[in-house]
Amino acid sequence: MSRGAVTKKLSSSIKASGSIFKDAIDRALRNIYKNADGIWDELEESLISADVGVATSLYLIESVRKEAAKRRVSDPQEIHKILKRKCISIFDGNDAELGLNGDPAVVLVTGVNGVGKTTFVAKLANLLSEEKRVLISAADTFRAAAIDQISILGKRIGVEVIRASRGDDPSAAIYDAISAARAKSAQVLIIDTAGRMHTSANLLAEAAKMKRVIAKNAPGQPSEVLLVVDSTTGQNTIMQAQKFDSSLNVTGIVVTKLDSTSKAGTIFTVRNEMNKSIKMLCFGEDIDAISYFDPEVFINNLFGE
Amino acid sequence: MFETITQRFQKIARLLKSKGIVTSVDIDEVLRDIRRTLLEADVSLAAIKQLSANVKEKALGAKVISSLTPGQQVLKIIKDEVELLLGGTPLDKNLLENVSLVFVMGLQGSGKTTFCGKLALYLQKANRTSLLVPLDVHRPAAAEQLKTVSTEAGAEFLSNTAGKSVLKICEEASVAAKKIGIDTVIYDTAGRLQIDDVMMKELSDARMKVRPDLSLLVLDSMTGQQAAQIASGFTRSVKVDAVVLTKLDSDTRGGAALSVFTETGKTILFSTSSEKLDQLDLFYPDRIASRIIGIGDVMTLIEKAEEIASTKEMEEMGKRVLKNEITLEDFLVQLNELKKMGPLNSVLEMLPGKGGLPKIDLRVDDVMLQRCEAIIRSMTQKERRNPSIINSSRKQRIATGSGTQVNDINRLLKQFASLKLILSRVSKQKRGFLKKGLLGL
Repeated sequence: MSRGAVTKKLSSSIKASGSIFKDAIDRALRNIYKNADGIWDELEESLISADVGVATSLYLIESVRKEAAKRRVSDPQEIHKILKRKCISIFDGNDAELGLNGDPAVVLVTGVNGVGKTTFVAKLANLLSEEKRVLISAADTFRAAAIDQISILGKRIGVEVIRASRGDDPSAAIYDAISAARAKSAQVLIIDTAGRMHTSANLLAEAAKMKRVIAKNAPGQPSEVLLVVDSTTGQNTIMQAQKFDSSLNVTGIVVTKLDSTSKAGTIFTVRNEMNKSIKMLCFGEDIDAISYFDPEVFINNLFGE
Repeated sequence: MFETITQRFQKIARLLKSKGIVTSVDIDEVLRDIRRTLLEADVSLAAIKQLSANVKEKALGAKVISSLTPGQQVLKIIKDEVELLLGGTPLDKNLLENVSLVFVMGLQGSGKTTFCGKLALYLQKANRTSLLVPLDVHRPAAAEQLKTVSTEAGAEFLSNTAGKSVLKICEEASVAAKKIGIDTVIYDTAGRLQIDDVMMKELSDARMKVRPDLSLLVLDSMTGQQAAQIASGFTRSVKVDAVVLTKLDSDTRGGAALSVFTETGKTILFSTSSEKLDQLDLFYPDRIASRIIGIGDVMTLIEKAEEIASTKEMEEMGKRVLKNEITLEDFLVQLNELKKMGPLNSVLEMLPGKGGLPKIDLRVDDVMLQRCEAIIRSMTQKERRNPSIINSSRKQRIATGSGTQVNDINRLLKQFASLKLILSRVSKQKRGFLKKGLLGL
């Protein structure tokens, strides 16, 4: 599938979330004539209800308000356009491209429990395997049956999975996977890791060790350290991003479960407050329910255009 | 959980208590603060509006204005309203004693399977046997995961379900449960979105077949503004009796906990944290409300301590604690015991902090615990019993002996001193606090 086609698939899948965001903003804008000041509060509330976060909402509303005042705009349609532009501009400089350099290029996938890491790993492997030789390392040696899960998915998409045993040291599993990737001359090695709470210093240290093991055995790697976040999570997303970033130096964010009713406002917060690139979006359990993040497409969807 | 929100509420409490008279302007100001605090904590707008309206109405009532301590009155009103948001009356604990068929439902990744294991272990402690039934026929290896979990929980597991339909598995489960004589059958359903009609139909069909007497919705405590939609979506399609809140070991500010009841009228039955199967707690709105407002949750703390501290050694130590004669040796035992009670942070959250307790940094992780142990073990007995004799040359020796820095030793001694202070307060308050409650503090 081409990149354009992949992105297009997103539109239909996140309609559910998009329309709610749009309704809230439309409602606020309709009231502009009734209550000139109240509209800003209402816009702010609709952004907050979409999980955009208080600080980022305030920032967005303030900048729209300033521009509206400067240009003496009071037409709801115009304000709608300004807001949309400001929303897009939050993603200025966002780089959704995955940097896959090296032999193999190593992609380390992390995140808290239950965000959809394993499903994402399978989707990414499937997507990349159209053009590259891909190998998966099943390094979640903690959760019951996690290795079975990724192995079954690997079989379905025809990508080999280097298995470890439950209870193994994940870093050792990764070491083995790197050797296997070399032996099989794989171009990309995607590592599925155990879910870990960002509040657990020990588990973050374990992840940092994995990264060190990768760097030692495959110089210059990992090419990407992807943090997977669940779009239904609220403001905690930013805490997760901060904690994981300080241990692992995250290179990009993957947002999952966009087929839910979530409005994914946390994407704005993560981008605005952390300046991390949003790389990919996932929106369903189908293997091809994945796309590269394109701010314009995403925001057009949210605003319903 | 609730740490940030508690800090903010404590600030509000301090402000309120400093006032001789509370005017409606003060109330408005406080409500603005609360609104912002709750918004940042992912609490739904409806819940916030309800709280604000109620607090305002009650706070402007005559009773507050004529009171000698209006600030505390307002604080009490806020606490009551927070308690109401959390569900008000807790669910009857005995509910679980007669439950024989439990349905566990929720979104993908909310923690259903782990919760099933925790529930089985919880029931086992009450001498009830359980059978875990894998109804997740969609996610690869879901049944294997449940199987491992059930082994760890010491529960029965319904095997040979591969390739069978959900309804067929339900049938086999009831046959098996009768055959081996099981008290509670726990059905672990597949994760699904509340807007996925096909999957919701599968769930309601299975429900019709099984007719469970307890249907639990598992909700990730980090869920944002969607919590309400998710809960009401499930409520619309299938009957939900109560909610289980998972992953409380995250640093979530608890928006989901504070929104679910207002939006759906469903009470939270359990809260869970960590991947360890014994981390399951009954949910008491009044206790959590006290914790959020910052007046502590001494009840849960005492219960937890009683559950763990049953050994002779702990009893002895308890006596020393009450007399404020705790030593560093006790401290070491205490640190290890506290680990069993869950993360120390969650234990400390239960302590009353309103009286201006010293700010202490008692974050315990395994590494730190090891270091503390090494330090204490490098001390002489005399030093352990009377740390005040530890001067700089002793510190140097201890540091060398334990492979740490003098800094580490200073930190440990400081923490020990503040722990002693807290414990002395708790022991003083134990009687008074429990009797007089909130306003007695």
